[in-house]
Amino acid sequence: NAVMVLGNDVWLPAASELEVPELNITTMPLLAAAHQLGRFCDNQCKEFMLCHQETLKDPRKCLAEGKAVTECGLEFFRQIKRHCALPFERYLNCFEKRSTSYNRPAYCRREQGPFDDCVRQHLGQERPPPGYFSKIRLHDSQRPRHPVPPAPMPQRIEERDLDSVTEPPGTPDPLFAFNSRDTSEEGQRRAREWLRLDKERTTSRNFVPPADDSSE
Amino acid sequence: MDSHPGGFKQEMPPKGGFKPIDFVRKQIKRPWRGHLLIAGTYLWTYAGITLWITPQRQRYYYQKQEAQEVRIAAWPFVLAERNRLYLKHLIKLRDAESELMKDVPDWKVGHWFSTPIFHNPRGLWIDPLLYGFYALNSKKDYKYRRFFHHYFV
Repeated sequence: NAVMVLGNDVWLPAASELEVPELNITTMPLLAAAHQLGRFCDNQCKEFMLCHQETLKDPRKCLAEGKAVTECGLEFFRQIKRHCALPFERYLNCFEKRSTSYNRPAYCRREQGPFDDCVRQHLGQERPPPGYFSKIRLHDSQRPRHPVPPAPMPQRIEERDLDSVTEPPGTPDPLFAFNSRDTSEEGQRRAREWLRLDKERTTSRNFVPPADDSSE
Repeated sequence: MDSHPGGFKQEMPPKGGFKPIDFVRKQIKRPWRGHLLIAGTYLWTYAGITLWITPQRQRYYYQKQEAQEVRIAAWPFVLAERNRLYLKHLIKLRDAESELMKDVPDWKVGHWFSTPIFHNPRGLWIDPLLYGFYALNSKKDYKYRRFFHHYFV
């Protein structure tokens, strides 16, 4: 019953195209630096999410934007490591240790201050105001819009007189196929034979109904 | 005694006569403190609501929003990486299927003996079902993912 939907006519990118330098960090640094990271990589993130939305969540169509997003994230963490390693480490420790409480950033304000100052000094960006990511943000993109695949009208089905349709000869009646309560050998044989033929009929592609003179 | 004949003092009305009798019904004088207490309760409640609990709840709401914004901001990075991993696995699955079914006659990869699984005239992207996606994993892995919501939200 394993269902694979992707045939050879569906285009998948080559494996080499998917090998990019990844952002090798765990959840905690990503979430701790999320506000500043979101502002640093705002344009790339918006482009990527716009592409994701326009292509109806097609993963193949937004690879370039995704790579740009990861690259920007790497650049951010490189700069943090170069200039702001200690304040970020202190903030990250607080973040990790307070992971059990629900509202984490609110309990780490003392460490957040120096980290924000350092980022403002070296990266030149302010922390985004509260509510910045919750609101809908508009993005003006220079690239043309991804084309929506056309939806052709389905072909019209001819009208047929279905009363004149007959089943091919040899098709057994599904209601009275066999009597399962018939414990005689003939009845059991007939039941087994019917079940075998039914299985073949439903699973095999090249089933040819046996030419029997008496229909059961 | 000489000034009082008979030896006693007769009780007489006071000088100027008695004052007129006040027969109008009067209410008992009650202390007015109760109204103050009730008014004080209302005022204290209003002050507490506007000055204390409303900003407290707003602060809690903003803190929760901040915690959620952290995940919203980090989502594009996670999604980009996840898409790449997903496509890598799909390539592996398709190659495995081609390898497995190369000797079976009339089998087209991604089809059921030349019948397509889904009717897709627009050529949209369709994710494979979970059962097929876990074809190279154990049944335990599939069950863990299939009933993930039983243990995690």
